[in-house]
Amino acid sequence: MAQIIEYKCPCCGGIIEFDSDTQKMKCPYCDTTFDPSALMELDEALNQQQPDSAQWEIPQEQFDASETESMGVYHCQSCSGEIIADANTGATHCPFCGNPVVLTGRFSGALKPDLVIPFQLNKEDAKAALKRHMSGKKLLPRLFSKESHLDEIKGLYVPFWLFDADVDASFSFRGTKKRIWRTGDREYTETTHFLLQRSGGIGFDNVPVDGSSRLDDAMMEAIEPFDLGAAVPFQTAYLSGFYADRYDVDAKKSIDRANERIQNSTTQAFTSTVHGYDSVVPEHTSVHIRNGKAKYAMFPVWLLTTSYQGKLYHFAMNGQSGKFVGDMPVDKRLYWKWYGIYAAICTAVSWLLLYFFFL
Amino acid sequence: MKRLQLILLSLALLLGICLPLCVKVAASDAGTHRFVIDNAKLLTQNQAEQLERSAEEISRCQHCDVVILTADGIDGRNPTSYADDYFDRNDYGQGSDRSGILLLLELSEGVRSISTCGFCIDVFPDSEIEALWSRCSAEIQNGRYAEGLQIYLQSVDRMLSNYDASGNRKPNPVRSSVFALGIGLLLGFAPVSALKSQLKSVRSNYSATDYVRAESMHLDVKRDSFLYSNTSYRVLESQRSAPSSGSSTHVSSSGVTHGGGSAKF
Repeated sequence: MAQIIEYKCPCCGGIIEFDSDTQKMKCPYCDTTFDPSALMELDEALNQQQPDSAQWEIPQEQFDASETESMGVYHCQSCSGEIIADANTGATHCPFCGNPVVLTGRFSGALKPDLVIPFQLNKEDAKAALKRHMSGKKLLPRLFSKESHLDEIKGLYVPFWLFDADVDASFSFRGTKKRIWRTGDREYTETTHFLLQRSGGIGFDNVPVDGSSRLDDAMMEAIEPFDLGAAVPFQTAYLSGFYADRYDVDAKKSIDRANERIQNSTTQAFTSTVHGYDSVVPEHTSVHIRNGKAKYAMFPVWLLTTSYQGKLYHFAMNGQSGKFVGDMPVDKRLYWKWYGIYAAICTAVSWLLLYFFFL
Repeated sequence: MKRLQLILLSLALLLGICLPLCVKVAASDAGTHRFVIDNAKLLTQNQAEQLERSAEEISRCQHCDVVILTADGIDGRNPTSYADDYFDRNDYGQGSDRSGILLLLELSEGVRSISTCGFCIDVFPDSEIEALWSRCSAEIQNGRYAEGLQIYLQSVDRMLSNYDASGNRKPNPVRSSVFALGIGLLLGFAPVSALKSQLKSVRSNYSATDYVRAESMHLDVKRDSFLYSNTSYRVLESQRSAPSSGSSTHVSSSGVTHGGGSAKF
């Protein structure tokens, strides 16, 4: 069985967690803070244990049918309670004593992420952002903000693949210019056709694609961008106190989504270099993407789930920038009420304009 | 008592002077001329008088002279200019721009001519004149002149009712309301759709613009090449120096602009 680790405070023995406010490891019991780099030695010790974890991985690939074998059973070091975690869980909390645990086996060797962006915002910030998200929405059912229960709120490190690319592109367009003039009783239209060619290149860095199949890709794209300036080399210590998942969609499958976005951006960039024509129609497009090495990163996301009238509503907040997304229901009665108000205003204004100026 | 008598006397004098003037003004406005001149003797005395009363009432209510002229031979002159000149020479037309409409039925050649002046040029564009004539042409062509001319007068009256004394289109509240309601119902969807879209925030990103490497875009080939050019034309409808909405105008011998035209019947 792979080892689980609990980061114990050297002063009082409590379990230390990563604190987003100070950006350091903090013991919630005696308030002592530690620099994450101080815990690097522990990580180095883990890397030497590569052979063990590598061996553990193989059964997962060979015995796909028996899923239970991919579910690991661990024992909490504080209370000896059984923790059942599936193949992708990297960090979680003991269901009995609540202590945060990190399943280091998930992040060792080839599975070790290259980068991590630590959490900048904490749970209270997430709750406040949810309140702000629900306020000021005229068509939200009144009872949603009152009656909805926050079922679950968790800080999760989401696995992302980051792709670099160098793109060579070549476009050709058909452009036209029109000139209209009158002589005598004739109106002449002269249409001139041009062939517009644009070729060149453009580079992209760190295009992110969500590497977890359990999380909605659209939601993860909606909370972008993450600022990689705040990224640090990965250490398992950062995960303590939060949940973390290992990737289950590998780089080969994710690269298609990244390349789709890269292609769209390239087309937009090159089309914007065409100026001064009355109409522009693309004729030939050739985009060649050369991908660099993919990076594996963990980005911080707060996930919230509320229930209202029997339905679950999911929200996500970028744990670094605070960008908050989540779809909410529309109250049909309010919709038609506001429609009636706006339609009445528009009718009154049009009537005045028509009466006095046109008819 | 003496003062009271003095006041009463001056009032009476004042009225005595003003009333005749009013009558004179009113009379001159309505004109000492007739509105139905039946030189071709197409109508009986009764019919002529009835049409005269109708035309006079319409002219008074609509603030423009509505004249009907029948003739059996006009010395070979052009019917359009004959109608224009007749209108001008006999001082028809109300208001400073001498608004009015004259219908000439010339039987020897079988030509009808309609001449408009003043704001009637705009009220009766060429299309409207065609419509006017088509309504009464059947009766006139079959010899029922009185009935035809009555229909003509009614059509003119109906058309003029949409316009006020100075020739401006009267606002029609019912039509405005219907249009306004239609526009309002359509436009009402726009703001409420904007409110609804506030509630949807989960959407994929179409492009990767945030991740373009700074200064990495370079254009190696930027070439705009001329291919070919073609020119086409279309003939425009002949528009003379006309005001709005297609009234063809012509100037009479007295220099007054008239609208309308002639056609055989």
